[in-house]
Amino acid sequence: MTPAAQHPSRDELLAMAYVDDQLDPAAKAEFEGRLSREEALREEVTALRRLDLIARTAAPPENIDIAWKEVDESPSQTSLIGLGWVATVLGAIGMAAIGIQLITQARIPLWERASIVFLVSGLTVLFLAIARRRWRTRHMDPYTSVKR
Amino acid sequence: MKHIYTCDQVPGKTIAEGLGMVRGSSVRARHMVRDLGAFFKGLVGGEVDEYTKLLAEAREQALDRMIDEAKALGADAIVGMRFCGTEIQRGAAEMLAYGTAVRFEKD
Repeated sequence: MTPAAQHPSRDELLAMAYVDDQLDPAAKAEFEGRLSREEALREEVTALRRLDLIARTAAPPENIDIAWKEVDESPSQTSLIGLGWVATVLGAIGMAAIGIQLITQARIPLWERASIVFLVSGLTVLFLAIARRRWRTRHMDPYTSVKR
Repeated sequence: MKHIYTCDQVPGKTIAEGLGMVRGSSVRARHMVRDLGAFFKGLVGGEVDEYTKLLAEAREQALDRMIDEAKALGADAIVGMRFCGTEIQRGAAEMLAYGTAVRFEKD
């Protein structure tokens, strides 16, 4: 909603009515047609659905939530997690380098070497394509705000 | 259409028309970083909150899809609603929500 929440725009009002299932069939069909073309409208509907979900699943925090938050935010825990990730990433880079070295030094025919390179790069490209799809649509997924 | 009941009859309401079964399903997974966290939590015990959240996300999405189907039929409510879950893939949660869409007699 716009900062001047007391004066929602016509589209914001339409989006609210759509999420609350208050539009008549003709207006609903027209609005759904606009949804397929207008990203800003889709984002508005997603934001409203997210609010609806938060309201539906709202529950008071449990003691364990507070305790977990305290531990997670403590300097010792953040340092340990950070250290663990740095070591893991360095190890993964090292393993990738060892793999590349083994392929380049192996006494195998060129076509076998090429097959391995194609397979690894193909899988990497496929993974990146799927990750890109998720990254670009994640903000349209209202369910990521559900906690339990 | 905001009313979902797990019972087959709603006290104070008379079902005028059954519109058939409505359902919604969802299969969701968490990313590998969260999976790694969940793996370590599984080793030490206690709640694996990564998977609690995963299951909750799948549940709410399945519920919404079922509600959308009931709305499209012009239902007043869903009765006899049930959840069921199964495992399609390790580290992913599948939830199915189903029930019967009904119209009530007007008061």
